[in-house]
Amino acid sequence: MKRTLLGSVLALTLTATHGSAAECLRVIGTEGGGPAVTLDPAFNNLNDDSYQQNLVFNKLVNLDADYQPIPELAKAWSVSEDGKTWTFELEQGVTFHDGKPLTAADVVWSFKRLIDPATGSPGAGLLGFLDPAGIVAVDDHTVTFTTKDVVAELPLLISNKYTMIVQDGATSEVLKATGIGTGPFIQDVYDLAQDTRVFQRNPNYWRAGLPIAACIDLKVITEEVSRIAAIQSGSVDLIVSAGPATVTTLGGDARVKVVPAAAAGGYINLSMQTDQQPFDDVRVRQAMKAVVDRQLVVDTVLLGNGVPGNDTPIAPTNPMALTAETMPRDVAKARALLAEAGYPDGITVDLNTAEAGPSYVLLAQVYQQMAAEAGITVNVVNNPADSYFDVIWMKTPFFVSSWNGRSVPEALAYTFLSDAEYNEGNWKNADYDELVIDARTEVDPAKRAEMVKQAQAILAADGGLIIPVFFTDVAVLRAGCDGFVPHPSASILNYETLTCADRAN
Amino acid sequence: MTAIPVTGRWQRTPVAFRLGAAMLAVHVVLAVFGPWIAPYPQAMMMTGPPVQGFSLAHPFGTDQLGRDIWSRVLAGGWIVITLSISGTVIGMALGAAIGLISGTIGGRIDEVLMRLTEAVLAIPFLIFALLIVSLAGPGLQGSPVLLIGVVAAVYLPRIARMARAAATDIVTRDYVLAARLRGEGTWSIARREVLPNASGVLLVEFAVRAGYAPVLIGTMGFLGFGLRPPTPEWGLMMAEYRNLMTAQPMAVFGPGLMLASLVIGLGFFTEGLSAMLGKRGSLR
Amino acid sequence: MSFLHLILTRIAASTLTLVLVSMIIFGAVQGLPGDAAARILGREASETAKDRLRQEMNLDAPLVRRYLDWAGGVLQGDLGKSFSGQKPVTEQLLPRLKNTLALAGIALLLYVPLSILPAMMQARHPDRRLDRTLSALTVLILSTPEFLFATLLLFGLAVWLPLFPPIVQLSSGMGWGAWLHALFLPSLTLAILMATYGTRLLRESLIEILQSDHVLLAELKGLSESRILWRHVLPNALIPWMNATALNVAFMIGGVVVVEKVFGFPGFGSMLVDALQMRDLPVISAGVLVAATLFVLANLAADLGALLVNPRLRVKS
Repeated sequence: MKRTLLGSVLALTLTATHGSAAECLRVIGTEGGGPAVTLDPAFNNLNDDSYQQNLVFNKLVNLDADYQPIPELAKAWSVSEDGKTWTFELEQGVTFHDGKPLTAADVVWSFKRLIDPATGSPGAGLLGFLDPAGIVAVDDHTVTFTTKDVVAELPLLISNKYTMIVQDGATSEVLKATGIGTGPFIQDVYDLAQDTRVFQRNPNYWRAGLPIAACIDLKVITEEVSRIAAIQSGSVDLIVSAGPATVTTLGGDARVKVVPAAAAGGYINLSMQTDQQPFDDVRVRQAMKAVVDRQLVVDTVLLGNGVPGNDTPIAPTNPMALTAETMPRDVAKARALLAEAGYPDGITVDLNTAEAGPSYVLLAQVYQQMAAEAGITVNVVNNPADSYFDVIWMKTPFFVSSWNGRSVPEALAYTFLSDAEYNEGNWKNADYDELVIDARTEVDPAKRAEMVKQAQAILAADGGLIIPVFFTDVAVLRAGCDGFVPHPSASILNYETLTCADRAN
Repeated sequence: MTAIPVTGRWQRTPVAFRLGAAMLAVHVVLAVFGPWIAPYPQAMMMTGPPVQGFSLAHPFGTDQLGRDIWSRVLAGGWIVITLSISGTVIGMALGAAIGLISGTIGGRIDEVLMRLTEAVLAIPFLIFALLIVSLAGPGLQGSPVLLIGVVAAVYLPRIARMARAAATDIVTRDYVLAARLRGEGTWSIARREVLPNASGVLLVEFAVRAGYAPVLIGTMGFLGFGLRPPTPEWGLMMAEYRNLMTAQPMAVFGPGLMLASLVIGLGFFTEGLSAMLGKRGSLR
Repeated sequence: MSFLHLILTRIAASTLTLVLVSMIIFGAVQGLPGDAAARILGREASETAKDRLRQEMNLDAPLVRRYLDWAGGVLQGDLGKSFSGQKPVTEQLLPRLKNTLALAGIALLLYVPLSILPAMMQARHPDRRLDRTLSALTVLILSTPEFLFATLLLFGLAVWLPLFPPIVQLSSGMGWGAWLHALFLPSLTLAILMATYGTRLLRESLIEILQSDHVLLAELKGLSESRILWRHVLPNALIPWMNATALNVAFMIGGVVVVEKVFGFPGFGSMLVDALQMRDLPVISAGVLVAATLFVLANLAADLGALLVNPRLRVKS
């Protein structure tokens, strides 16, 4: 009796402070950067960087859910007759958070800084086709990019996670903790030590009537169970990216809304280094690929939140993909290929993994089971997560990795060209390189699509990567909130229309 | 005080002791014969649909890969018991040796050893454990041997301090003085006089420590510093399945119940033992 | 000797312990393998950026020299510069430490009644149903890994019975009520975890004292049961309880790591674990040193407290 009375008094006094007046929208991220997190777009390496940089910055051109270029700070663009000069026309009346107007000089500085080797941005490698002297401010609101060769899809290629527009003259030292951009929200409280990041609505945002939310409170919770509890209890409004377990747990829960991205984006893969035994034999690689039951991987590792992949970095749902079909599992073929390669009794390989990324360990275990039937003995080596990308990744013959979704030309180049910085399979194929590079200069979309498919065919047959699945990013909104759809690429987040009926708008 | 009343008649032992011994016996049987009792191989995928709750075929349900959690729990018993016992034994043996000798010798060596012990004890044990794992480097991280070492290292200074306290008390007794007068050396006194008289306390301490070891190992797994999947260690399984806690509670509570019953069994056993010995230990 | 002399001896011993701790920590931390630059900047970081960070870290000077530099700095309140944040460690550590101390403070306040009251109830009628139930509950909590217990409380008191916020979001403009409300659940978790030990120990001391002669005498004198318990028995059982509490503080500094992770609390423990994983050496050394200092201070306080409570100890030593 006494206890229940005490309980209800406690409940009354405590819930009184709950969900009272105007509060910020509470946005929860899943991957933390700790004190290393940065507001400098040139170093947008971690998802935690992306969560906040998308609040304060805009890009010249952004990408829609199909990775097609859409206008952002550039309202229109055109290309010259010879295909070597692209002209971008900027929006009028755009101002930075400090009140200065956006001009062409800011755009020129942003790109020149990015490709300057002294900056040391990992984005420089993606913009190798740009020539600093070719980036010119024609007038206050016109920028031209002139390249040596034809770059058929330049608007798309200059849009990656590093190419957000900063102010003319802004340096890394300043940008690390001060994000003055043209974006929908203005940096307000930024206290990493207290884990408090608050961003206020930009009242002068160039898109009329946006953003809707008055302010956003950003926090990263790395514990998945805690995120589930937080959204179920109604004390947070949005989880920007949720794992399969969260989706399974929250499916059918009326307190939340589960919002998947329009398409599957990133992939988890197994990388075989093609210059290492036994993977230097293409037949072994093909056998390793043939044992995969791709649908089974989707059903278990992703609990259904994704689509099967065919060992190319383009999801089969994309019209540019090699095929929309799923490559069937063929254990007999795998055995035959192994025998042909001189391993009639099967092979034994070490597969390195770690809890360094979502589902890495599960994928390794599933692969171990599938491969066993074809006489491939896989020893799963589960490494420490904290040093995985330092010690194991790209340094052992066979390992698990994953990549966020990217546009078609970027995905084909980033990890597969012979001289790519992240050539995970150490795979060098001149025909593939030629097709991918030539496709960039091909102006005819139909021909380009054909070249892209040919390149993928080579990659799927000969390459060092097993890409069994593409995962679908999923956001979770609290019931009563709306206006956020995850992009297939985890580094693109649009908070402009995010709103909650019972929070300040 | 007699050292260990092993010969005491079973009926006369305290109820707690009998209950604890019975629970431990069940655990040992399950740990040894687990693989034969288990309905499926522990690593076998798709023994049923993924993430399913209780059914007759899967008493603890299935996990994300459709593995039978009951089979995994059975496969993990011997790992939990082996790691906990061997880690505790090593920590105990070294700690007791250092503590007893230090306490028996006394003087400057004792002073230095105990200062060092105090210094190590000043580092919170979980942080101390994490430091050791980090120091071991990526090659050893996640290996059972390292975990045994961590358990031993965490317990060593605590047991050394306790053993020393017991020893300094014992060396003032008449029979030790008598032994000194007979001309026995320090080592011989430590072994013949001090150890048997301290063994009651140490035994109770052992049971308590061994009971906390699996909890410690599980916590290390939770923080990413312990064993790694697919090892079916119970604490690790709880950590691994915690994301599914509301979707498939048995995935967490199955291994949790097993761990709790093991620790509770050890607890009863200890309680009975301490009642028989007239001494008690504290857990930390 | 004199009381003052006794206190000074204890303080000197504690200081010596701390100097030893600082050496152990510094040596261990310098021996940590792994490339901090690669870990901090993530896998897509460029070589240029990594090289720049490595230069900043300056790990070339000899060990003893670096220890002396570091220890000298510590004495002047300079804990070095964090690798990952590129800021003085104190700037990163102090706010976190403040949060954790607040958490621990509330936890300690809750711990006192949570450990004393059940023990009193149990000791009053040992081996009755209430005693058995509480004992079973204690053992059950003791055998549950901390992360599981914390998660269960999280779902219990934040989701099923939504009394408290599940994750701690602190902001500068926060009122006292809201602040306390935010910190309550993690504090309660910590307090219960600690109390299980305190209760067990206190129960046994209480029972032992209840059976002693002077309590029997008090009973013969016709004093009421509760009066005997509160006035005569409890004060005598408090010294072992205080020592247990000091040990519990050490546990708390470690256990707080788990609690902070589950409740997303911006505290000192989670900072230390992150620093360990990123090999942010200055933060690790400073963090462990601070933790050890807290422990030594807690023990010193318990020792001095025992001297105050029980004057007989002053003579004995």
